[in-house]
Amino acid sequence: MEIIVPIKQVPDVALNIKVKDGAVIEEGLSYVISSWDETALEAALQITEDIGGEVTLLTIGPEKAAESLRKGLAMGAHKAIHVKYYDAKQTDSFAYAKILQKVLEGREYDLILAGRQSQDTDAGLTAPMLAEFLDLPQVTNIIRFSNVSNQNMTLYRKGDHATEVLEMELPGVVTVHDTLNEPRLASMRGIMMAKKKPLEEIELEAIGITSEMSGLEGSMTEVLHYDKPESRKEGKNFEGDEKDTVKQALDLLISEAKFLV
Amino acid sequence: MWNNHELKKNYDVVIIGGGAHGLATAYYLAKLGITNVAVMEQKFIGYGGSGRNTAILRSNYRTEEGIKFYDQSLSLYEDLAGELDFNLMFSRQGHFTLGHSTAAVSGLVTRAENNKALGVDSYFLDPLEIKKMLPEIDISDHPRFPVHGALYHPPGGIIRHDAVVWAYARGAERKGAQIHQLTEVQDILVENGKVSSVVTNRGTVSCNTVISVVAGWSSEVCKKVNIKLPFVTHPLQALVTQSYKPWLNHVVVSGTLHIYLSQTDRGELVCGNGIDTYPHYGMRSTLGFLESYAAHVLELFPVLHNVAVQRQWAGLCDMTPDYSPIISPIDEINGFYVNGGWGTYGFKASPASGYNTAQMVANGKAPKMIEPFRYNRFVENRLVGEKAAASVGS
Repeated sequence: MEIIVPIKQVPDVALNIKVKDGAVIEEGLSYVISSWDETALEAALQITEDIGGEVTLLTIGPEKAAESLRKGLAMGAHKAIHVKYYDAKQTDSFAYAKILQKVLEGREYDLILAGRQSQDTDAGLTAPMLAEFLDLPQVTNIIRFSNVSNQNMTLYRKGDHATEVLEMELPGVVTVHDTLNEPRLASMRGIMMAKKKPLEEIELEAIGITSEMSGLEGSMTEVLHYDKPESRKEGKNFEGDEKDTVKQALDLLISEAKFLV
Repeated sequence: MWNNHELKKNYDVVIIGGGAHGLATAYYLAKLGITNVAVMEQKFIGYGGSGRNTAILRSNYRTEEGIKFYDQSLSLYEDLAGELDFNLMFSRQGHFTLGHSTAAVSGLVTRAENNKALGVDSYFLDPLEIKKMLPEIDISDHPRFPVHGALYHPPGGIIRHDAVVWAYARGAERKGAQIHQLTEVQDILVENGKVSSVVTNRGTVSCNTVISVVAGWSSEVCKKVNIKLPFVTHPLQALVTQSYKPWLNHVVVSGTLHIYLSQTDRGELVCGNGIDTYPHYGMRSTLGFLESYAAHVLELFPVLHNVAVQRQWAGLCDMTPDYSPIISPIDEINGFYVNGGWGTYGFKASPASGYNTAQMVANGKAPKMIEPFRYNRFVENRLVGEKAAASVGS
């Protein structure tokens, strides 16, 4: 099976992300593969190990995005496509999905396997829009798959109160929930081999993406500014034995917090 | 383990930096009876190099000054767990420094002789002897840089670095020093050529003595009192693998391949590299480091090809021109001391660094052991050249 895994390089959210004057401060940020995309890659690797085929990573981003592709190749992907996009600011899911559509038109593949959303914007729109643009069936947020063949697969979709079980004919688009698997770590040999795997570079113009189709002009939405969530206020410590402290806490709940009236 | 305190209005000694060196200094000062001491740490204790190093201990240095100093440190480490009543997981497993050329072998033999002359156990091993102790190593002529021999240093080993930080913190606190985390020293005030107070984000405190013990940030702290010392900060990257059953019972270092590795009690391989080639303060992990490490370690140990990398990180190293530290009073400012320039070799020095810094502050002059590490050695051309023994190249 030929599987395309679109990945996004995002700021590492485990680090402290600073916001100033409504914009994220890029200095000091560290970039990683969005974690749901790693789940998708792991799923793709398991499928190809099971029934054969190849996994192609695809990313849109600046030069440094190539590092994420190499890391994905080190995990075991077979090849990668890097769509060079130097100023990705103010690009929304719609514009990304359009670029992905242009890259994938005319290519052979059976399955597009993506994370259910990216770690930075949490929108979860790119893969569903891509499915629409490519006129492919789609199943989102899957927690399991079975009976995978080159023609179809059974997918288990997470709902609020039940699991939906669906059968999908391929080619199609699937997005994955992070409970699906535990992404593997790259091995020393994998890291070495990644350097020699094919990495195709594509310029936007070469696939017919004009300036009107990218950036703010090509987007349907606009980010006005970023705000940092307010940090939690410091709590209060009460000292003394239980009798005293419970009374102090209750008094304050009534007089200051007006919680118990 | 240690408490939060309000800042007092006055301290006898303010130590800037809550790493192993700063906390050890506070501990040894308290042992000398100087307890009105504050350790100011802008993040949390062990945030910098103390929490980011690869926890290797050894004393097989090159110069007489270096060998004696690191040997004292290793001796202090030997008794530290008992003294501080804290399991530091010191594992004395022996330390290999590999040579990959005739020139490197001659350097290692010289080091072995220098070490022996000063009572430090070190000797040269040929490839077959190495193979007996490290059965997985490739000593064939297949690698680009075949192994020609090694300096073997039986007293070397590894320790649990966080435990060293915590143990010194608890020891210092128990003896009366105060540890202030999330307390950033924003300025150091000097009046009539003498330290008078430090300004922090939590208020100003007066003090007679300030010791800068901030390693990678040394230039920044010295800037506050308009002192320029030859520190250049470079990041150093490291990685840790998943846990594997014990197979490596020695520390292995190769300067030519820019790598070192050891296996922890938990089974992870802790792996480090040379410093990043250009100076900066970013503590970012790079793919380039990962690729070069993998390439080089597989030359030595092809058996590691399936080992999975769990995590990588970086720390800051304040390099000096001669790869030796600066532990010194600063003549221009009465009461200001610098303990820095720890480069890539600071963690193993923590006990001796703290011990001697405390002696220096308590007596107003540097003990003989650290006299060679005065800051003015660079203008007096009395360098303590340790590059060949202190680093894995850059």
